[in-house]
Amino acid sequence: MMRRKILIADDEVGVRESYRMIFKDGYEVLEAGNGDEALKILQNTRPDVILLDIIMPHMNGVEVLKEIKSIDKQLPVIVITAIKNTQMGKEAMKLGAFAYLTKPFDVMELQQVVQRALIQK
Amino acid sequence: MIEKKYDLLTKKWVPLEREGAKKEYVAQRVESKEERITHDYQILDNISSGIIAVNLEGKVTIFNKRAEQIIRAKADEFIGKELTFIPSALADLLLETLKTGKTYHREEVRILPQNILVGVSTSQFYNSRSEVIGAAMVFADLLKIKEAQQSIEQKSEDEFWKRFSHCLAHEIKNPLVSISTYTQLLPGYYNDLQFRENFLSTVSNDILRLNSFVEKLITIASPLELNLQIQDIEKVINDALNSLRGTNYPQTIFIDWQRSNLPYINLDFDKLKEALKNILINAMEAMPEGGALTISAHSVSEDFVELHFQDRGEGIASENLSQVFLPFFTTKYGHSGLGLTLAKKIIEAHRGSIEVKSAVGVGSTFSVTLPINTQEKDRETESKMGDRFDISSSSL
Repeated sequence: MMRRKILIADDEVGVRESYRMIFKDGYEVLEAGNGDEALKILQNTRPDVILLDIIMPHMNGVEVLKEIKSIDKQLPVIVITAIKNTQMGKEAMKLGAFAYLTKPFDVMELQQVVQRALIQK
Repeated sequence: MIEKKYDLLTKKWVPLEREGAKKEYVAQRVESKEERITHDYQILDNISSGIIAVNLEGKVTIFNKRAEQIIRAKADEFIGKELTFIPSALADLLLETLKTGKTYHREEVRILPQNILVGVSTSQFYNSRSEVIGAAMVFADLLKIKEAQQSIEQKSEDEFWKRFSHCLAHEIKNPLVSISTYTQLLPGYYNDLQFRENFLSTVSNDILRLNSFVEKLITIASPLELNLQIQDIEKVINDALNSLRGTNYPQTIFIDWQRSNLPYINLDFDKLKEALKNILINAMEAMPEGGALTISAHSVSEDFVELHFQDRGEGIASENLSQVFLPFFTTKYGHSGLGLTLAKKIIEAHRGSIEVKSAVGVGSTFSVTLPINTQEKDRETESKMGDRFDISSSSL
């Protein structure tokens, strides 16, 4: 069976490395350092799930979420961020985010959320 | 509308037609004493501050319309009466001014029981023979001013906390992600040598990063203790430049070093080097594609030296210019926004100053002024460095 693709969008190298370690066995991991890069990747490949940091340079994370949803409404986006700002969380959920997690995350919880996102697709 | 004014000097009622009076006294020369007094009272009633005046006997002679509004009482209750009828917060000041000549300037007092905050100024007034004939007080309701001030302060404070929380989230949470993830994965990957090696190097680095950030915060929040010694400011600049060699900054940054007759000055070497390093980093980051960084340094009088750091980067937008030294202010992600704040703190601890001029698309110049502060020591001409930036080998 073809491996599922997971797109990671976060401006920190260390964080991307963490995600890679968690998902490298079992998924094909794609990386983006900002919103623009994430959208560019989206134009060439269709990932099965996206991990998106809401606060990133250049493009507002919420804007990126909107863009992703407009490209593919069904694509599950899991929003991950350092700031436990419930207003941002609510906005992300309203815009169709699959789930909202804060850093530093629980590895097992993250894996479970990703699995759920892939099942419901 | 007819209004009446009690004319104290002539002791009779002077009928006053407001609209008509205005026209007359503005257009013509004021003729009679009566007309003159009415005109003056009109001015008093149109002034936006409260005015209360007393004569030598301490009896109220003037109590204008604004005073009525602020104190919430009618002039009739006070005119001709002793000062003691006026709220004591005001009366006490005016009486003291009348008796002793002490003047108050924008003194803040509260009128009780309504708790009205006013700013009060008082002075005596004189006749043409310079004899004291009374005292006057001018006061304004401070509530609106205070509210505006508080609103600005609150906004500033809110903005500070917002910047602060963003910075903390980035500088602390992100390293924590690595440490947290590696730790959580360790049980499953314990036997994986590569994993263990990655764990050690990544987690160690992140711990250093966290610690360094916390130390920066503490430095900014604490009073600076300077270890001052008379030293060569040129060496400080060179050392700061040297420490940036071999870092990530583009090799195409060309340093144009211009200096002349720099005296030795009283400084804390390590701290000032840190400050100048932060200014240099800022300049280099403004030119990610490379460019010319001009450093000029010279004495501007017997007492001061000036250092200028000019980059040809993107420049700073005018709305950001006043904020560049504010803690946690940054337009670049991944930056704490503390570098220039710390630089300014260190420079000001040396009793110097720093300012920035900038033009978008042209570049920015940071100018640092430092007091020399002690007996000058002239630079030896033979140890002058060339125009190229060299690694200094002179020991100090």
